[in-house]
Amino acid sequence: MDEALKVAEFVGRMPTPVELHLFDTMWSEHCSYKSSRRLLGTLPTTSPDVVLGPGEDAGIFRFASIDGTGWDIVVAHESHNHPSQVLPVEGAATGVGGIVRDVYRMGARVTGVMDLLRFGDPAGPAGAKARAIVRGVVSGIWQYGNALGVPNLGGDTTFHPGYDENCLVNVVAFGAVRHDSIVHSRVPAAAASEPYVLILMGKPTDSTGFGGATFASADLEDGSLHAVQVADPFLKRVLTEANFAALALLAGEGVEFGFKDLGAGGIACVSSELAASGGMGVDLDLDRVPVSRDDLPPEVIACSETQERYGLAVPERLAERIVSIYNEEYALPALHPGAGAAVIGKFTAGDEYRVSFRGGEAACASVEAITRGIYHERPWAGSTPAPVEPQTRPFSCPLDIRAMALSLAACSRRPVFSYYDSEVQGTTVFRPGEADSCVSIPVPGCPSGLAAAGGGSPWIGALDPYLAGTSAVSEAVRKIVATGATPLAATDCLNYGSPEKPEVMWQFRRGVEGIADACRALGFSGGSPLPIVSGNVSFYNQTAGGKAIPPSPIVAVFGRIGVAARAVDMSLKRPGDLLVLFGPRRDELGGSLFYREILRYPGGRPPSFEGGLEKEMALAVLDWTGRGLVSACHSVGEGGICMTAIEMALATAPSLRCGLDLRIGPDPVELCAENTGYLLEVAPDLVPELPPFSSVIGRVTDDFSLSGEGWRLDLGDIEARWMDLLASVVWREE
Amino acid sequence: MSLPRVAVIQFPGSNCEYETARAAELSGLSARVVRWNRAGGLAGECDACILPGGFSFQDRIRAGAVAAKEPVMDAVCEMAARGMPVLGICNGAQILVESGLVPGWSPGRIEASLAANHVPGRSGYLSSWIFVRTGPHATGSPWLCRAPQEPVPLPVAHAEGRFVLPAGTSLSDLEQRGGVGLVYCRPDGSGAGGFPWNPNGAGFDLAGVANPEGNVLAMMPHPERACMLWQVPANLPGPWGDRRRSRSMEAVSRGPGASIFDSLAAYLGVPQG
Amino acid sequence: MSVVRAAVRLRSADPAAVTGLLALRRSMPGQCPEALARYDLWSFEGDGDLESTVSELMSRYTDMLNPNKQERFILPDKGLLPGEDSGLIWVSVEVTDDCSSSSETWTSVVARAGFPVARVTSSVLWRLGYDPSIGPGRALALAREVGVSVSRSMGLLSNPVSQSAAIRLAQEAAPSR
Repeated sequence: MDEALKVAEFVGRMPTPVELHLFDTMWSEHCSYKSSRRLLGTLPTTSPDVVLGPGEDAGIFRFASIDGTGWDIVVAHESHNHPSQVLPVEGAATGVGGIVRDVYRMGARVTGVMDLLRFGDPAGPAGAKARAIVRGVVSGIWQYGNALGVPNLGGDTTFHPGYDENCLVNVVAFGAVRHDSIVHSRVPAAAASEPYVLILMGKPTDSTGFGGATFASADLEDGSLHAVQVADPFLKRVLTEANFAALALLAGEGVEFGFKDLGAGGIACVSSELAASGGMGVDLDLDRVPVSRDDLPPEVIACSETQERYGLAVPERLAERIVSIYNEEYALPALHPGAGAAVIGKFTAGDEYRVSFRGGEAACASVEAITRGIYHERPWAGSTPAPVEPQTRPFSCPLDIRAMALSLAACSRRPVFSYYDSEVQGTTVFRPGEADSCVSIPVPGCPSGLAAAGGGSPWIGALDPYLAGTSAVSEAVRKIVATGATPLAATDCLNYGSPEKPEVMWQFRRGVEGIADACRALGFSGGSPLPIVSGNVSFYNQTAGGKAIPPSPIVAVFGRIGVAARAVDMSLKRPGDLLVLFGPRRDELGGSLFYREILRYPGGRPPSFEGGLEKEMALAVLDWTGRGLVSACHSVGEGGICMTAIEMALATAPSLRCGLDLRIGPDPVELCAENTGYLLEVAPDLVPELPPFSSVIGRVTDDFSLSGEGWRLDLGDIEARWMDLLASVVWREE
Repeated sequence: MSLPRVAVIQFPGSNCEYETARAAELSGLSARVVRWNRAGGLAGECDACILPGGFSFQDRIRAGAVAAKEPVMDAVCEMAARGMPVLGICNGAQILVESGLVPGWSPGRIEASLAANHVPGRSGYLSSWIFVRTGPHATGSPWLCRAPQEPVPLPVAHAEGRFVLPAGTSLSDLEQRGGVGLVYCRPDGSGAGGFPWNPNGAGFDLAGVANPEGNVLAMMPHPERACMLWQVPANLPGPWGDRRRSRSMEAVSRGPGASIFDSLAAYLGVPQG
Repeated sequence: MSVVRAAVRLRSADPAAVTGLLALRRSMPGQCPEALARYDLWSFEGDGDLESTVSELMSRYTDMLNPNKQERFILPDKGLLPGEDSGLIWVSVEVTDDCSSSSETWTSVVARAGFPVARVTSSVLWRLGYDPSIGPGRALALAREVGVSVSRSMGLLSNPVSQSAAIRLAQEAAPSR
């Protein structure tokens, strides 16, 4: 209500329906970050490698130079949580569709996507629904990504009962662009001296997802019927090819132009943002928008979120040629009824945003007012209780290790990524499951590899919202470093409950502080922090009854390795090689797989953040891998080093079948602590001087087992079940 | 002497066209991506054509069914009839089957299917690495003449890859008519023995089917995704895996998929180094 | 043992049906129907009050039916489905795969969950609506030509080698117009 009065103030009279919807959409949490903007300003966003930080749809950092041409990587990270809970297939598919658009529209070709998924407990009381959502989300991701031709290069799948009614679907897209060909999303300065028009290309506008931006900010109600967002990767693929042809034409003509994709807020958002960032106004004619039906009211045409649409701000004299690329060369209208390109408006001097419809004026407001958005100062309050350790910690070895390996948390995710095409484009070096991070070669002809990985644990989040942020960053950094890549930039998506609740606002603030502190400690470019170059906030992830999800900041990190072919995977290579541990074990098992799965204990002290040690170890791993000393490397994660070791052995080539023998007895802290660390396989004749935080803890054997002092776990005995458990529970409902 | 020209046909929804063209170029050919509605007189403008992988028309109705009816396929059928080399990879293979070019006993008639994967307990898309060996008529094929004797590892990624032939067709029928192009096998070359080494339930473990003349091949695995050694998974069993794991692997080392394109290059007269 | 067949359709336009109609207009204009609709067809064989069982089943598994995007109807042996234009002659083309992992997996999932269903078959139902002036015999003949891809130029909806197509008139009597 407050907000409606504010709209009236801005337009100086009773707002028209179009204006109400316009402001409502543009001022939604999703579009304007009204609760979070100021706090996000505390994150580090610059480093010598950053070309474009947060502000546009995607972030850009320098990657490589080949034959004198500089190449940059474009990255974007978003969530599509609420729609996926209601329509898992379409929600996830349009999530992928939306995120790739953010990268395409910077002029880059998308070379990979990642999906970071959080679902409810598949074996719990709400398990049937959780399982159906897993099946639907995975299906939506493969149907869209495989068809579009972007390889799935990583992600993770985590289960926690806190997501029973609020799944999280975070998607990341990345791609490569020539430094001199980056496309911006503002009306260029040239529009002041010659007429520029706005061309809309893609699907005909319909009522799909109307109010979808505000949908993301309202509680989910059971059985709610929202207009279906139908994903169309086929049209997107053809549209993408046509876009590249149009961009090439514009580059050939040497003109400036603006390019934007339509997501939340539809035409309203794109036209106002293009205009505002160029300091201009815009006259929009809704009658010229290609629509799917003749009876759509103007507010729907202006604000609907129909997928697969882009906007181009180009000189009027080139408009006809551009339009014919879409309508004739790529024959969009023949492939999808009503699809195509049309000129729908023109840019004007001044600050007015005017919309006309059926000969009348449907809206007139200030561009600045619409796009500035509003900000709510939200109160926050909360504290982390002192951790309480369990009274006893009985540990049965190897039976408990076996139980941990065969838990839903630790079993193989191959059943998920076997649905994904991870090799389309022919640039993949490491697929999901082979190494800590997927590695690909994004720039043709350049040997450098791009590594990408994500992190974020709800178990840590539930115990300490500050550590939720630090651990998300450090987990992702370790995964990049383990393959031999140097971290260059990061993105984040901050998923929380309602910001109107002081406790949630406190969790959010602590999470942002944690991310900022970890980024400052883990920069690898001179003295700069690790920069966050793009990100997203998703609030209102809570049940109808008001119960919020555990604090869930999710961070993706990107790194570069000079020669991709030398990246290091996790599979063991040679019996006789030594196993080196970086990172002494700490008695900080709160949130660990051992406490949760074996002791069924939800509390305890989680691993603290040791920025200095984290950085030193990362530099040492990069030094060793850079010198070619490391045959396999895997960072310590869920389950501690016993799981890390098991994963390295299970990844081994079937013709080799190596195992590991550790100099460790049945000690739960040594084997199950999840604080920071790495395991490295090094040939005995290559082991360098051991840094203080490292020790040789075992060796590779030709016995397909994990063994220690006085215990042995046969891996042949668990392998088939470990590979198949997720499939049997979620897909075959066994 | 100018290089032989390969046309890689881009349908609406194809998505492997660029790396397929690159793979052909790495074998010494000149390759060009040709849009489906710009094909013109294909037979006069190229020496071979490849239908790449992807999701033409989003696999609507049935994978390859709609693309098969596009006018550009008239030109591809003409090339096939003239004995020119035509390769279909994955979705390209589905289009060749739905165009009646493969098995090609009565060209134009549909005499086979690339049906939905049928494996125990799992339905839908599957991404995996498998091994294939060539059928008995490989030496005469423009696509297989340089394929090695030993099993070749390649990636597959598809939901509708199960070759089905008319009831009553026997393996020896098919072999005699030159139809057996590629067959799934275990890493040691022995019979696939069902899932997972046969990833989709294909009859007779067929991974690639050729026409009687041998100039048209429809294959489900993706050779363009394995033409460089670094594209091969680090934990692959067998000699290719050993090469991949070896310290002497170079960024320029060739991979197991290269032989498909090397075969075409040799067939078209490019001197082989 | 009885059989209940549930036809599930999207609440919005089905992209496969849209593409199918465009493809038929271009490549088989003489046989192309006026309207084409596509349904997921789920057949359940079992005992007892099968219709109630099916209702319960489909509200439990949102993969079969998600009410946020789909609606379902029990498919009658004869007669129109809700929303079908009664001024057209409708022909059903039911396409079933020779063998289907999806059907097998659903059969075992449903049995394990304790439903009295012996078999679940998942297939595709196309409904072709023809101009009534051609008469039901001709409509059926044209639908047969569209229903099975015998060659590159003739047929679309099913592959003759791996799929079977059951093609029949939907209505009892031809529409009066």
